Amino acid sequence: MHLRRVSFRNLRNHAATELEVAQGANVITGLNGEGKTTILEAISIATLTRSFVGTPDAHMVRRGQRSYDVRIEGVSDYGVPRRIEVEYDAAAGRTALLDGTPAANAAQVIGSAPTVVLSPDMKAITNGAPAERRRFLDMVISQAKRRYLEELMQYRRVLKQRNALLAMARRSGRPADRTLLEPWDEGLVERAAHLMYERTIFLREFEPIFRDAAMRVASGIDRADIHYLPDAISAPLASVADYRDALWFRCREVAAEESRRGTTLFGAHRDDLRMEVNGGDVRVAASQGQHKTLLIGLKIAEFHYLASQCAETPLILLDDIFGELDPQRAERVYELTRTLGQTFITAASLDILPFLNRRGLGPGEAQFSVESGAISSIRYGQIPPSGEALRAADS
Amino acid sequence: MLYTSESLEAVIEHLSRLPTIGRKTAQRIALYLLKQPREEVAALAQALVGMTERTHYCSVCQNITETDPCPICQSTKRDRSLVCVVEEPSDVLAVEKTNDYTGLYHVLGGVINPLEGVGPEELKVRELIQRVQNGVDEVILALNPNVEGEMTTLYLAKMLKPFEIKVTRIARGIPLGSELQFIDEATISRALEGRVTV
Repeated sequence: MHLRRVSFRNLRNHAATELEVAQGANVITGLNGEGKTTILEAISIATLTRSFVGTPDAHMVRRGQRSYDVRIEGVSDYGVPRRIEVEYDAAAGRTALLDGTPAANAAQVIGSAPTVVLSPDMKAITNGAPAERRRFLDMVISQAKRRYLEELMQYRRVLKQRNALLAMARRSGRPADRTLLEPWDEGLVERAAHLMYERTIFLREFEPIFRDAAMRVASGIDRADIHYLPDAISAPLASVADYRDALWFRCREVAAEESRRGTTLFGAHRDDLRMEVNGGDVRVAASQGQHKTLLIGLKIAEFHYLASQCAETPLILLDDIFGELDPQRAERVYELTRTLGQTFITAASLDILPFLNRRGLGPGEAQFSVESGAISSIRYGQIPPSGEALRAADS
Repeated sequence: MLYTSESLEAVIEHLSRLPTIGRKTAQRIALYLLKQPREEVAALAQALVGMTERTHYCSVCQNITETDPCPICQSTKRDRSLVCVVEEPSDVLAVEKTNDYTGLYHVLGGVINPLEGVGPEELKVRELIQRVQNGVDEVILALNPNVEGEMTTLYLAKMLKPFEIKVTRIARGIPLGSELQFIDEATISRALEGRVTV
């Protein structure tokens, strides 16, 4: 899939912005706070149902407005026109249309236009808390497998209810009624077993791709590994049934402690990933520079994985990552991602991408400047395919 | 905006408290009623009062009724050994519409939902157990296919186990008249799990 047009209204400081994008690399420049990341967020809202920055919808709406809308139009890998429209209203909530048909839930949109995002916040994947790595896992697998996303949403619901039950029992000072808790045990174990098995399968396919990608972009790394660490299980298991057995065992093991603490102490929401460089844990063994390049490797691997699993070539959103790289590496990453798929890149100025100034924009490349929530200038490497009149409207 | 009449305003306010009725719809209904003959409006008012005065829950199935037991529980044509458990009275109407079900019902009044403080005591679970003790051959669990409905199904199945009767749940799968290619993956997976021999 590649996009042709991105348009949105009342999103952050943008009143109405519409841009016709190039098929290769789209570089969006502007000072901090001018609204360049918002263009990437708009794409993310359409393809991933929310902004990768994690801002709640209510705060995405432009000041003084009650609603925002986003529309992306593109062409599938088979040449079929596709479009996704999202509308958010403070009172009515969010609605999404996939090619004009209302989507029943998030699961229907996610995966239809797979998207790989790299933003500065994602540093936490390699050196932050386990929750960040689970978020990464869930985001990738959900885009590749719809059943995973369904199971995940149900798992979260069961977990919330089970925690409510345990907390209630704790407040009352009596252990939770076993007959009342058992259905929730079963609900949790069934879904956790499925999620853990899918995560196992994912890592099995993902690890060689990651190793290869990390070696290509990182320097001083002879070997990079990524392992799945299922909660309280020493090594990944071979089947859903094996996970089910292990989870039931764990369920009984922690039962007393769970009623004492009033919360769930086992399951897929406690999983983690272990990343290694040259055989050592990345959190202690990697330098700051290696963290950056490993993360880029991880994202390139995510692209290759999604490209192999989904019917569409993923879109790539790179938010403000080039400023932290030395010019040679920045150029390498830029050229590498550009050959993979359609990229959307933000940077404070073109000085961060000096090679672009040197060689000029080529075919399939475009540069947009953003100033106070509006496009102030556009340059294309060549006339865009449709040749339509372009508008940077701020009405 | 306030209308000139206080009594009209009172009607609008009452109507707008009804589910799915906003203020604008409430105004439309109130103005419509105002144009109707007096007898029409009186009949509506009487019907509303009559409904609240005459209806109560059936002592057997917990459905809404004016007689006790309700007509379904009293009917001699019904198979009394078969009980279909549903969440709400509206679900009874849904199953009745099929004309295929000849057993009795049991209306739970909701599902187990710890987040909202709903446990078995808040539902008509004890009444169900009592009915089973009095002799029932099969209990069909027909709760909604969401997480809470599923957990309540598991809970009831466990509670009914000691009675050694047949406990079933309704099948989950592909809606009639739809096409496989448009069905979501989770539903297809469940339908495959619940496949039957032909």
